[in-house]
Amino acid sequence: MTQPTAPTTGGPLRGLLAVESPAVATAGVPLFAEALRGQAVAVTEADWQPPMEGTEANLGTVMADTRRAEANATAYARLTASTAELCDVKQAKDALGLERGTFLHAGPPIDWERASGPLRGAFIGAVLFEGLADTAEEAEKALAAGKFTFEPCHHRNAVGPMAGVVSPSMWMYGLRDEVHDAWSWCSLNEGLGKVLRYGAYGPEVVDRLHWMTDVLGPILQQSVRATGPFDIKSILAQMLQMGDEGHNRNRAGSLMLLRELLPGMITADASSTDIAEAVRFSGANEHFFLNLGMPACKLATMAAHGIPGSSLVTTLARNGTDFGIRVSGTGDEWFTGPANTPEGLFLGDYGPEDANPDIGDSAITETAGIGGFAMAAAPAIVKFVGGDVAFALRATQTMYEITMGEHPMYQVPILDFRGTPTGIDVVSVVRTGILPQINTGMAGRVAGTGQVGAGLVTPPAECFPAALAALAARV
Amino acid sequence: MLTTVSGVLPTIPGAVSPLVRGLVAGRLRPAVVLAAFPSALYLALADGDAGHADVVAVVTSDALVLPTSILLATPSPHPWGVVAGDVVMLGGDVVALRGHGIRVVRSWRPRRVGTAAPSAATVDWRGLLADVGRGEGLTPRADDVLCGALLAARAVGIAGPETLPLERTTSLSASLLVAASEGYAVSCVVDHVAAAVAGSPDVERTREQVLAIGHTSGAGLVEGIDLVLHAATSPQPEGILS
Amino acid sequence: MSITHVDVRRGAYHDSVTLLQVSRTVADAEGVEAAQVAMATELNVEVLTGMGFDIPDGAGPNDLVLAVRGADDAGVAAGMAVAEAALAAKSVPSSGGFGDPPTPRTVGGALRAGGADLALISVPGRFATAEALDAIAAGASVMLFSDNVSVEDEILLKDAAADADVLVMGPDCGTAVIGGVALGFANVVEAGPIGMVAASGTGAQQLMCLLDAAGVGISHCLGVGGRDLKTAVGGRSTRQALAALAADPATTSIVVVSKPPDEAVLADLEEYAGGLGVPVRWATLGAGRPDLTSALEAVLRAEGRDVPQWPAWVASEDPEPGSVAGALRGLFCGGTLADDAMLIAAESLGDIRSNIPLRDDLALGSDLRDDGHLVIDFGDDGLTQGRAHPMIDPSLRMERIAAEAADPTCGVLLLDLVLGYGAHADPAGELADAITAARTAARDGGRVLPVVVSVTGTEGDPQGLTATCEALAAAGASVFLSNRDATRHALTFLGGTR
Repeated sequence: MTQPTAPTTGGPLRGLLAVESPAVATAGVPLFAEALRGQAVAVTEADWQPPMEGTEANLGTVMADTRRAEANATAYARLTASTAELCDVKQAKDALGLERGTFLHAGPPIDWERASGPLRGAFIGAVLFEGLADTAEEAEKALAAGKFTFEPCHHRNAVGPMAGVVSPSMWMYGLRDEVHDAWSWCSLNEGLGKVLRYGAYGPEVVDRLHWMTDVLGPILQQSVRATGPFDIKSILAQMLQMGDEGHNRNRAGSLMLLRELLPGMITADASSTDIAEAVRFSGANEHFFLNLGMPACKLATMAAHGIPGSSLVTTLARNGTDFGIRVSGTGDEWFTGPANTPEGLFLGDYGPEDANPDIGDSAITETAGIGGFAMAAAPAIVKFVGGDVAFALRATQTMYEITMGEHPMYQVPILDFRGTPTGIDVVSVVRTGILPQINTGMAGRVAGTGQVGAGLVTPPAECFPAALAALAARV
Repeated sequence: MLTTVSGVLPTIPGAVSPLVRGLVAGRLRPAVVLAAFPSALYLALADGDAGHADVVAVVTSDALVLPTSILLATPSPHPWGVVAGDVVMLGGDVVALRGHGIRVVRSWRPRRVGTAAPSAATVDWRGLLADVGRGEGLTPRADDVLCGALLAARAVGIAGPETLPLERTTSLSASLLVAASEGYAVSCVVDHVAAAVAGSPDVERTREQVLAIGHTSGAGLVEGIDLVLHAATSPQPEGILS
Repeated sequence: MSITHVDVRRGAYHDSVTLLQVSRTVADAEGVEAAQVAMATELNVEVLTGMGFDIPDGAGPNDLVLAVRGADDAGVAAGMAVAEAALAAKSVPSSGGFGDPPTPRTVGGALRAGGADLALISVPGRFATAEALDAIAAGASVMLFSDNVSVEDEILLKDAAADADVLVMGPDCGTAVIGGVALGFANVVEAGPIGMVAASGTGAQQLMCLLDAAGVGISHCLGVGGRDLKTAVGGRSTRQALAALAADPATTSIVVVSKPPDEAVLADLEEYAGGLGVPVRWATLGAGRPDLTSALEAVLRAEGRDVPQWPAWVASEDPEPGSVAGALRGLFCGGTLADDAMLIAAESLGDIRSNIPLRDDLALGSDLRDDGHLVIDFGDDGLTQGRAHPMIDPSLRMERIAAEAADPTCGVLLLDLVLGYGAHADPAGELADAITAARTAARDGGRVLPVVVSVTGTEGDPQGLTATCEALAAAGASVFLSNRDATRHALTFLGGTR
């Protein structure tokens, strides 16, 4: 950073003519930067490249929109100001008014026909769990026949990891944003291995869901109601300083959450055996916290949503077939493209051919400035998702190019406590061609497989020019 | 960016302050390295003709820009190749260091405290002048106070002292006292004097910027500025007690 | 009687080292007797209680407590304000930490990363609007070298810039000097009292070089783009540039230089300039208006300065005045220099055909050929598609010089050569060779071909004015610093029977 030599106290053109020795930023022909360096001028040369194809007119329109600066400032301020406290645990039918026969899922809207293996598997499991079918075949037949209603979690202010399937009897964490008077909901984490969210629907999956409904949910509800609310945003801030990035690494966060929940769980009105099993189950799951971090992020992006003229991205979500984004200034419209398949590390004998395209609402973490955007805070994650530590540092630093600000609470110690890159700007993505970096789990392609690995993925580029065009159309 | 001078010494470009342009543009003369920091090199002319305050600073783009500086376009650390006490050559628009030189290719424009119509107020400079050289480091604190006072006095039209006892302090500090007596200082100090004299709402901010200079230099400068501005506005024209 | 104040902020997490520093800063604030800013851990609550602060029930380890005791309400308020500021300052990004950040990809990113004062944008025109808007949004003035930016976008950019109190220099702006720094094509001149507003790059260069020869420096040269004085743009940037220069203590008078402006815009600007309190003079070309040199001479006289003898190197082997049959052939790289020459020559020669004609009916065809008087601007957009500006790549003009040498209808060659930053590093050698070759070829064809060169440059330029002019003179050319003098000299040869 060059020492400013412009006066800080006014003058026309912001004091340009009183500058002692101008420092210059250049974009374009390198000859000019070179000529300036030859004059002992401090030059910062942008590594400029043309924007995504065919976007120049829309970029001009959107960037010239006089509402945009303030709209983005407002959206960003709301995003970072939102709070997130775990205030309640309820069944989806009570929390969301979810009707019997309606199932929520991750990502943008989709029908059975286009649903991928893991999403289909999760629907089947959920139908079985709700007792709407006796066998998997029967469930599949009913699903294919259109007997049930599908709806994105995002349409109900909820989020779901991976397949994200929610049925009326499932218990949900309820988080509240005090500042903006909003609630967001997310299902309870089932642990790792063969689980519904990865599309598994065998008896052990459905049995576990029943146990969670009958035993775990009520105990957690009692704990939260007795000793809550618990500040989830604060845990997020702390876990980033403890080596988590809040999407694919939640170890510190899970322990901190358990620390909050334990006293209330232990004193809950339940058998000591049930309490012991609930505590063991919660403690054994290092992604226990993910299902709290996600709705916390959802509250932040909800607060930033719906501001006319704002180009801030408020949703990144995938259903295993399509990747969809939504933008603050374009309301509830989805801009979709085919989901990419993550690249990364595989469990056991699984390989790239076993992986399903990107799935889950968990990219809400990146949307709110953590996850892949906070990778520098979690260098250990490269052992899980691939890459090296230098990559992790670079990933976060690169995301500053496409974000509006640095999160005031979420900080990265190794970058000298710089705030995480927060608030993805559609305009910046289109101009730079830099796509948001997402850390994610990988589901098996075949329904019923479960998790096959974890890795790195980006949205399909076409979502962003489409969103930009919609913004331009609204100017 | 390296270009060769006479096929021998590669040089990098620098921008010179008009305050020291004459020293750098003239004939080749020896200069002693007063100090070499990652972001700044201070050189004192060392031949028979040199005055005590004939000091040239060479600073990187991220350094504090003294009004007597040659500016480089690149940030610190700069590999000067010399240490305090070494003798280098200066002249012909080149500062010849070891292995490379700095070639002056343009002038930069140090900002300057504006002058006001002569004021009825006065400052008794004796006490301030008596303290010159008191304090530690390359710019003793008492000198910083005097610099601030000289700048503020110029801004409100109070006459400065007839002479400055430059020999009593370090060469670097002496060069800054000479600059201050002509209204030149680090840009944020110029801004602060202007803001303080104008009673601008910016003054809190500019004051903070000045206070951030050096370890104690900023505080010294502010003290000197406040001293004179208080004298200029106090009912007794006698102003500062010594 | 002391006053205590305790503020609990839910979920405002900061690390303990940060808070320790903040606590100290607050405790040092004027009027503050004691202060503690800490997370409300059990231990900290004990400490705070011990200090006499009353911590509300329910404050937990995730909550930030700001506790201040002041001598009075003002002390407490001051302490709280300092705490707010210190906490805010702690969240300001620092550049430290491991790993260098990647190179910024946009001009806005580069401005922020480098703390730059202005932006120089030279991306292809269709992408330039977005980059320029980005720079304006980042609060920086822009030199927009890019051409092929629509008039609509130019107006949009200039209006956005005016709202943000920054200046858009351009589009298609080749020359600016800010505080002694040359942006794009500019000459090395001393600092001085004349401020320039330039809707013409080579026009500005001609003026700053003449000023340099007269021993007068410039404060700044603010480019505004070639269309700024046209009706559509309406002098938007010129107004801003005039106001800024008028407020600049280093500037005591202003010269505006432009290709022929639209009269109504000029009239408006003259009226505007009249109220600025600083003399503003006009080197705006047009029929019946002074040429560049004469306009500059008027400026010098108005400033009470002497008009010097402009440097000239007159060739000795040229034909007698009025003895040459054939026409004027002006081959220019600088568009304004070409305009200037045409306006001067037209007074005595009448119609001159050109690719940048003074009247539409004088336009040259795409072959750029005509037997009569003609002036070609090789820097015009039509001739720079897919190739560099002739100030960088002179090959097209070199070919034409050779062609004119072989053409019996060519009576005299008038050329320009622009030195300075951004121009060809050694233009004299190549041009001198071409001149020698042309004169030899003409002689072989039984003609004596006078060649006149208008050199825009200064001694301080990397190429050196004298060295350049001497090299051209040695090749048999007459060389002038003043474009007017060069043109007039070329005209002296003409008049022989065709």
